[in-house]
Amino acid sequence: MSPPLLLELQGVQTHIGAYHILHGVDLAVPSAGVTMLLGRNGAGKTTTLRTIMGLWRASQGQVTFDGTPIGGPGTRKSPPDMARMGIAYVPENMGIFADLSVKENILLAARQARSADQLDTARLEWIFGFFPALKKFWLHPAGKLSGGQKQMLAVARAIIEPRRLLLIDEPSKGLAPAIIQNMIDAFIELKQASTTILLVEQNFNFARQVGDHVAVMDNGRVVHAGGMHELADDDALQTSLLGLSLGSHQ
Amino acid sequence: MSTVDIDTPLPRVRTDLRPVLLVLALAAIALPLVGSFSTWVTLTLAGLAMGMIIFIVASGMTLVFGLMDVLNFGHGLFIAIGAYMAATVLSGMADWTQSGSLWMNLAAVLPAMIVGMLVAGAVGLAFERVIVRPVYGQHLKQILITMGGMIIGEEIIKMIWGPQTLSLPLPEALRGAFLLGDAAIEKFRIVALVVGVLVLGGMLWLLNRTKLGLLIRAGVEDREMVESLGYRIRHLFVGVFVAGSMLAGLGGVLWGMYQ
Repeated sequence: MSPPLLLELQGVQTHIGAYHILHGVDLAVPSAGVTMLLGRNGAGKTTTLRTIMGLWRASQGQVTFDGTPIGGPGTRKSPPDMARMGIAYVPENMGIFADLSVKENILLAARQARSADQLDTARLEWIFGFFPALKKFWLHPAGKLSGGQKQMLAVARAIIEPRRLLLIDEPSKGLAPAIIQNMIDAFIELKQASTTILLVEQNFNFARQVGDHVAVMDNGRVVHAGGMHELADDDALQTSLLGLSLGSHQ
Repeated sequence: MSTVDIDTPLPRVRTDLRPVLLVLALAAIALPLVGSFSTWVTLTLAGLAMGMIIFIVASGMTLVFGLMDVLNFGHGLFIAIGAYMAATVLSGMADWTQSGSLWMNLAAVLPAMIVGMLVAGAVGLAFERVIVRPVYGQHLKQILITMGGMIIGEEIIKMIWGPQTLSLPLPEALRGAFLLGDAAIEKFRIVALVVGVLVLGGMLWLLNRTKLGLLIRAGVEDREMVESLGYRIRHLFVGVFVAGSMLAGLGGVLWGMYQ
C-alpha cells in the first residue's frame, strides 16, 4: 500500500510578473519520505517550492497540505501560516541573517523559545552532531561563515523544531564532498524520524542516496514521477529526462 | 569547503566604537577652536542635549526606513503632535509647572511626555493604515503621499490649536542654569540628555537582548525569510511604525520645551 499523501499540487500555475513560470504542476508528496524534485535549470523547481510556501501566488490549480487547501485562487495562505502548519523552507540563497549570530539565527527559527536558554538542548546537540561547525561558531556572526557553514545553518534552522514538511532548495550547491555527506546523513536520519522532505537538487548522486520518490520537471510541468530507484537504475530514462546518466555522476 | 575550513577560527566579534569615538574626537577638536574651557563645556553639553533630541526623533525614522523600506516624509507631523500635546497638558497643569518643586515639575513633564507619545502613536497607526499601506514598495509615491499627509496633518493642527505660535514654557525648576565651575549648564539640557540616554539604553536593550529586537534586526535584513520562519512581519511593521511615531512625539515634547 502506498503511503498517504502529505502534500499535493494539482494543475498549479504561477505567474511572476509578465512571465508564466508554472504551466500546471501536478505533484504528489507522500508522508515520511524524501521526494526529489529534479530538472534542468529554469524548469520551475524553485518556483514550485516558493508557490507551496506561499511566497508566490498560484494563479490556477490547488495546493493541498494534509487535506487542507493552502494555495490556489481563493485559498492562499501566507508564509507564516505555512510555517505554523509545520512547513519549513530553506531557500536556494539560504536566507541566513548575516548580521545575526549563529545562535540568534537558530533562536529565531525556534518560535517557542524566547531566549537561547529555552532551546531544546537535546535537539540542538543532535543537530551539532551533524554540523559541528555550528557549535564552534555559535556566537559568531553568520555572515562570517563559509558557504558550507551557512548551508548547515540554513538546514539546522529548518529542523531546530520538529516539522511536518521540509522544503529544501539545492542544499548541496557549492559544497565540498565531505560536507555533502554530512547533509546526506542528516536527511537520511530525518527521514527515519518520519519527517517528509521535498528536496530540489541538481546533484544526481545526492538525489539517488537520499530520495525515495522523484518528480522531474521541465518547462513548468512535472514530466515524470515515480520511485527514485527506478530512475537511478534506468540510464535511458535519465538521459531522456535530465540529459545525464548516473554512471557519469558517480 | 574542507574540514580545515570548518576549523578555521573566525575573527572575534568587535563592538563598533566608532560613533562614540567620533563624538569625542569632534569635541576634542572643538576645544582649541572655542578657546575657553567653560564655554566649551557649556556648548558641548548643549550640543549633546540637542543631539539626543534629534537622535530620539531620528531613531524612529531610521527604524521605519530600515525595517519597512518606507520613506516617511511625514515624520515631522508626529514631532509637531508631541509638542502640541505637551503644550496642552502642561497648560492644564499650571499649578504643578509653576511650583518651585523639581519633583512636581517632573511629575507634570512625565504625563506630557506620555500623552504626547500616545497621541503621536495613535496618529502614526492611522497614518500607516490609511496613507503608507497602499504604497509599500513604491518610494516615489511614498514621498509624495507622506508629504501630503503631513500637510493635511499640519492643517488639522491649525484647526485644533489655531495658527498662532503657542508658547511652551519650561516648568519653574527646570528654567535657568547652574554653574559647574565657570561653565553655565542649562538645567533642561540635562533633562534632555538623561531622557536621550534612557531611550538609547532602552533601544539597545530591546534590539540586542530581546527576541522582538532580534525579529526587527532580522526583518531589516530579509523580510521574506522572517515570514517563512512563521512571523507575521506586517504586525511587526505596524508596531515599529507606531513606536517610531511615539519616539517622534517624545522628541517633539523635548524639542518644544527646548526652544
